[in-house]
Amino acid sequence: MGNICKRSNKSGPDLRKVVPNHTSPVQSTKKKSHPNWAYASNRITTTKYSILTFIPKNLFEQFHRFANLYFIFIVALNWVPQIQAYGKEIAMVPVIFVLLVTALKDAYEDFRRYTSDKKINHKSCRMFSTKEGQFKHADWKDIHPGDFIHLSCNEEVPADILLLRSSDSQSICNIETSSLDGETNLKQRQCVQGINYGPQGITAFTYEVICDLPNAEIYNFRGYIQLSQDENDRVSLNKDNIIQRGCFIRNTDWIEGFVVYAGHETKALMNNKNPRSKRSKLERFINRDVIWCVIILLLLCLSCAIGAAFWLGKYSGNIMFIPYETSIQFNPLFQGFILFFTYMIIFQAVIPLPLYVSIEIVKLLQVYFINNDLDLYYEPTDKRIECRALNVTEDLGQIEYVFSDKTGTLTENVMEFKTCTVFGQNYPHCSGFQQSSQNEEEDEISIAGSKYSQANVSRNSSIFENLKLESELQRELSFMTLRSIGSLDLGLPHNGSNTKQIQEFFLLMAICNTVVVSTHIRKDNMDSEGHVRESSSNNTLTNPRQPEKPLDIFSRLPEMQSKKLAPLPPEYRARMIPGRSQSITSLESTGPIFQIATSRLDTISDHGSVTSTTTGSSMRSDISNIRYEAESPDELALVKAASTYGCCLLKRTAGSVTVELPAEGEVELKVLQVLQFDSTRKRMSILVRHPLNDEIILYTKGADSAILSVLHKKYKLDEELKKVVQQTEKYITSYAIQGLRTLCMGKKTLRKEEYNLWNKGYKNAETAMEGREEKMLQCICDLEKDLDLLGATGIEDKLQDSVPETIFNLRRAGIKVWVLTGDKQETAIEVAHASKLFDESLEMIVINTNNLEETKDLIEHHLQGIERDKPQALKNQSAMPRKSAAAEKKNEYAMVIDGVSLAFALTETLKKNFLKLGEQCKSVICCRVTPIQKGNVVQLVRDELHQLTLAIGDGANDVSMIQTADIGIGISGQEGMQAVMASDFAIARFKFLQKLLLVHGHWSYDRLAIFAIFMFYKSLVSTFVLYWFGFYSGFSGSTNIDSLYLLLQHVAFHAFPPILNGIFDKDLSASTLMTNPELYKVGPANKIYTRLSFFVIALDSLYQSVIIHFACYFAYDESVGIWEYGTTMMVILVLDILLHLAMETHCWIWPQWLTLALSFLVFWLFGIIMNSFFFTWDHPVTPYWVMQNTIAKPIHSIVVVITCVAALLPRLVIRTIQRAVFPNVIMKAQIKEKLENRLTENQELSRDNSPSSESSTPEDTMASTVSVTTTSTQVVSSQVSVNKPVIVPPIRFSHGTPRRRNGSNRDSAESYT
Amino acid sequence: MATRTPGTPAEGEKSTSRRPKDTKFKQQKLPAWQPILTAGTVLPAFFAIGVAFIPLGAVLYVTSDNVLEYKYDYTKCTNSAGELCADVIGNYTNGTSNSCSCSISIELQTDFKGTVYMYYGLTNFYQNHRRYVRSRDDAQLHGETISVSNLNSDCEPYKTSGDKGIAPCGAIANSLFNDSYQLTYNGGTNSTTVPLLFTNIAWASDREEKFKNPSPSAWDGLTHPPNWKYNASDYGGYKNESLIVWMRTAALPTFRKLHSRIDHSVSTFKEGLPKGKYTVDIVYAYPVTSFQGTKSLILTTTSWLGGKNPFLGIAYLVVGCVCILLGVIFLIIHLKWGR
Repeated sequence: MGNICKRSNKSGPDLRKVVPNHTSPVQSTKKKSHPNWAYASNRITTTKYSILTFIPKNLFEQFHRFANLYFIFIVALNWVPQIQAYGKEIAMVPVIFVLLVTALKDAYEDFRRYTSDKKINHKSCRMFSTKEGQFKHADWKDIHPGDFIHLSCNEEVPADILLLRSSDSQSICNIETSSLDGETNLKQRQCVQGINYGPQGITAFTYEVICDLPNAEIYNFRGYIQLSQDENDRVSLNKDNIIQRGCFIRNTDWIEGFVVYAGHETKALMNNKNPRSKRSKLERFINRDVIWCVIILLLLCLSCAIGAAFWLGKYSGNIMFIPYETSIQFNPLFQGFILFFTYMIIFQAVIPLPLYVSIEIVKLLQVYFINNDLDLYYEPTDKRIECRALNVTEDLGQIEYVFSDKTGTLTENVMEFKTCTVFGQNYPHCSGFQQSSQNEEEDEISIAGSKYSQANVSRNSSIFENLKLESELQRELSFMTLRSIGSLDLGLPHNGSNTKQIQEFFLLMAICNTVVVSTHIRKDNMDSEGHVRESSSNNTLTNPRQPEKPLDIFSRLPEMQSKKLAPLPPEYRARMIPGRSQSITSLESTGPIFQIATSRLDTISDHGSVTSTTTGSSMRSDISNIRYEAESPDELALVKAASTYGCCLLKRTAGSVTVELPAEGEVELKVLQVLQFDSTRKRMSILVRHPLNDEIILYTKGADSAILSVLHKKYKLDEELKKVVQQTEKYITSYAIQGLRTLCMGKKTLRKEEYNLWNKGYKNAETAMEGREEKMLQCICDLEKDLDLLGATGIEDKLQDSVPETIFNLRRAGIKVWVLTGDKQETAIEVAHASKLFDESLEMIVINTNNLEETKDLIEHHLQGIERDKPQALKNQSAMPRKSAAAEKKNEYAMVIDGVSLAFALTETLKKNFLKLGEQCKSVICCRVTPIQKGNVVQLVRDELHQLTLAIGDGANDVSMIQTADIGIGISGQEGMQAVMASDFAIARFKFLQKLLLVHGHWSYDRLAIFAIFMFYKSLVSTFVLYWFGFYSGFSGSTNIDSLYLLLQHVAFHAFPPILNGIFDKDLSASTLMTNPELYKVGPANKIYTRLSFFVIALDSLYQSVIIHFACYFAYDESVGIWEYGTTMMVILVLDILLHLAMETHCWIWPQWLTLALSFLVFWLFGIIMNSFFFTWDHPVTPYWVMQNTIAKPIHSIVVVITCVAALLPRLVIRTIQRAVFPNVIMKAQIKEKLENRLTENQELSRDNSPSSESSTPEDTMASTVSVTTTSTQVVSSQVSVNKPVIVPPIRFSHGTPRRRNGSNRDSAESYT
Repeated sequence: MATRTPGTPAEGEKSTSRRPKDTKFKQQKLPAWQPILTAGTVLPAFFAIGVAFIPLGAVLYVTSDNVLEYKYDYTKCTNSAGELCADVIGNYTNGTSNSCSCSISIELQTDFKGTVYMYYGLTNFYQNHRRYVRSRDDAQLHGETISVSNLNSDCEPYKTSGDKGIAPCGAIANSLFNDSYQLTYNGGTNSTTVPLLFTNIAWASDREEKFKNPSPSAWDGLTHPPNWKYNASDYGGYKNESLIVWMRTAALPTFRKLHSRIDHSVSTFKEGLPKGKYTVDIVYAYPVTSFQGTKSLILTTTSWLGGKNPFLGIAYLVVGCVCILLGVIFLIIHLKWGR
């Protein structure tokens, strides 16, 4: 990026001038004389290296790593003649090997980037060719600022373009920006105004565009076009004129644009931050122990150096076996100094050279298997788990805190209209009624129309399925006409009926939104080669040079397909419905573009006509062709509900909205203004003009607080109206308790003058140069006040499947689950109960305050309360240990805190106490929190408690916490890609978290921990063996083992079996881990790789090395040559290490057997083959026939056997005693698992061919014995049935009455058991 | 990705699915053997090891015990004048130093049946010293013609002598053990010289391939190591088996090397060395006192296991017993905690 900035700085101060390329006399943009030559082209390269730069650059990068630097230093030391321990060239072998493997890995990763770049660079689009005077097919990479681009509907935008022309009569264009900012709603962009194209078409645009330098601000763009020499003859450009790279064109036949930024200068790419590199907790442990290795190395070297000095000091004069004895170097102190470094070379392997690269390989393959897990694959959206971070798999096994978003994570984020209240009157909609005749058509809508249909496929639920039309509302609405709505303020109903309010309410539901209706196929008359076909429709793009052909969707398609247009987003593929007629399916298989076409064709063929939005036709047939594309699922639910009642949104344009009213038919309302939703106002409004009486009506919907606070003051004064508000509030609360999302509706009628005045102010604010945003906000707020209350809706956001089980199991696994949501407290608490986050055993602490002092007092009060209860519990425990379970249970807490209080709680003074309180609580809910607060909470826990945190969310508002947490998980659901892009892992469903953590996390942690310990063991034992030889070689720095073996052993002879174990070994089966979440606790408690692990393994390796060395020493005694001695030792060493690994292996599968056997065989054959040839480069060994002579003697095998047995005996004994007498949780579970397997086998044998079924007896007993403490045993055994694969019905909030919090919540609890 | 097979459209769609393959390998469900080290399962292994090791240990011990060995430390050997030979030869031989003859009498208590070998043993001699070990040129010993400058630099300071290269170069060759023995059997009526064989005392691989003489003309530019009296060619070049044995450096500072074999073709010694008195006449030339070393002469028979060394037998017996003991302990543990 740096060079781009520099270049831009040279070309001009702070503005960029883009000249249309067809006006430039120079054709090639590569030439310096071309005005746009300095700007980056659209070719992107995200690779780090090129073929030429790979070697130097990669080496440079690798040399930056400390471990590599150390080994390079060792290699360099070996080149100093005095110090030299090994052959100069041979000593480089392992380092080169490791560098090579790392380089290969890097090259592979870079190659993947290269291929993805290539794919993107070769995406197809249509670019204006000056030479041919028409649009031509071109690759993305050929685009350069100054070019014109032609795009059709659903095409991806290749570069940041200025929107010049659009098929839309209003000169607008709809785009979807989900890949950019994660928002799935359609946004509108405006063509640049004031340019007359005439018959020339796009070439009429000959103006220079002056704009900002490339920057990363997605929401900002400033610029202007100089139309003539006149300084004031400018068209100013803003963010509404620009379409950014990565967006998709929607709902618009075609657009044409002018490229201003391309390639790496586009906003999307400038926003692309490199993923941060995370270091796992285990890796920090490993690094700590690497330091211990360094200390051991220095101690060994130092002792050898001192030993050498003393040994040499004994001699004087000419000693035959010490060459150079007479020279000046024969100084014990100097020799000691030299030998310090010599021994550093010899003992280099104390620091495991291949540790880091093999850890990376192990993790890479762990990720591969996680990625391939069928249980983490979600069929309906065809999504696997996506592992974006490759280096934190083991952290998954050590999580202690899970922070979860609610909407879309715990819940489906597919909204269903459930109930509503209109003017204080409740209209509950009973669920469960089905109208089968309508189902099919409704499904069509949800499949073709909803952007959220992917998730729907499994549930296929439409409003009709669960919504029984409320008869009173239906009756009231049946005679709804234009005449009956609008006009004057709403007063109290005269005759007890509030017809008016109901009708207004539903009209609002239908129109007060940003739902876009698409009713016909988007077609572009230009094919991928730029040829334009004349069609019968109103085509503004005329090009006389092109032959006219009739528009035929079928004849057009093959050409498009052959040119590989931009692939479609997967959701379109997902819309494919199986079971097409043969002719269509054959087309389908030819390319992605067909799929959309055919799926649309389908809609046509199924329902007869393409355009059927004619008045008078029945409502059903209309709906069948209508596709709604909504900003939020809530809006979609509302619009669908309204249309079910007959108040059907048919068409939306920039200036008007068309609805169908039950008693009147199609009606067009002029839309004066749409005031979009924002998070400060928490409401949105639409201003429409009543076509009959020209009244101007403001419809507003939003959060209940945002509406109720801006009601007309008469609602406070008038008793009757006050009652209405109170009633409404009551229902809203009751909806929230049922877990429904509530929206409140209001309206206001404006007089013309009133509107004009406001409009003037608004226009001024819009064009204000300073503080535009604030001014506009103020202006909007001025309008949105003194509203009349209409009513409120309750929309259900269904819990995802298996969420309660997942949360319950996570809690059993000792993971604290915090839910951070922007939702209301009542909704959040209800969802918490439904999702098993809270249960009757927890005492609830609620913190709702308005200022710092209050928050402080409350937190301290609760802390004291907990403290007070604690000693009691302890007393009980000591007095009556049997009953402690009950006592402890009462002392479990859950906390609920709202956003305002949280803000105070997160302040410097309070955060310690808040955290203390949070630590005491089993689960915590933070409601009404902002995205930033989410991140802050996670950061607080992460930094203060030093425990591993996981954040899971699906929306852009979760990005902050996902990035802050040690592990971020994105739900690849409905709310775009933002969360996924920021995450380390992306999963499709919340329930996958269970297997990801409990099974894969546990495995990864266990595997990697054992792997790392083993790596240390390996290097220590092989080093200590050499150390002992020092005592018998006068600390002269000599080794008895061929340096070739020494250098190759860690990269070849016993390098692979541990890696295989790191990938495949399973301490427990997946099903055991899933049914016993308590087993997860070993991870967070660091039970496998403890602080002592290193020292235990160091002691063990010390013992083993002593056995290896001294067994050889005494067995061979005097008559043995140095290399024979060393060969036997090496055989023992390799065998010992491999057998040690075998003992550490939990579970054997054939790849492990194979690698283990092959490893020894490779070493053995390597020895034999190498020793069969005479060569002198392995000076001084020259191991000709050494191996053969050694192994031919019986003593060799006899020594090998006894040494291996003696070396491994203590470990075996300790392991066995531990397992028999003091087994840990894992061991217990292993034994149980084995028993269970045996039982099942026996059953299978006895039953003969009967399918294996899980016997409940062993499972129950296992659950009860496995659990860590006696207290939790009861909990587990009593609830174990939850974990059986019982199909749990989806949770519905159909209970009208709110449930008690702390008391018995049995009914909900029982529904899961 | 699966290759798309022509057939039903459903298959075509499948190939684009990202559904992971349901193979046992990818789902980590390969059939596995899960050994769990409990007292119960380990028990048999311990007993098995014990049962196997104890008899093996006994066999090893007996084997080693049957090996006959006679060792005599002659470091402080005196010549006929009663002077310590070590003092007579001085510190260093340097080719022309004094030699000292000494004679020792030994008595074998039993008949040494079978092939008898004569070893010389040195103590405190660090043949495994790093610089010493390196101080050789295997290419030269392989019979390759190497110019003086190309000799391995590790041979320094025994690489060149004047402008001539040293053959064989290096400290190892220079420090070649040069005591010589003559063994006389004094049993019976008259003394018989025990014939010694100096062939087949080195590894076959060494004497056949690793050590080769260069073409005769190659010796011209070469000289002997400083401690040697004559050029290597006078001793049979690099094919001299005593040299080959010496060049295979010992692993430990206390070592013995095969000096010679007794020639059992002579009728007296057909069955081995009969018991009785022997005289060894030693040409004492190798200085060891400067490094507090000792020299010994060893006469020994061998077994399939090698020389006399009870260690392995004892080790097997001990480990075997420990395993049996552990087996018993585990049996108790198993009965007590196993359920």
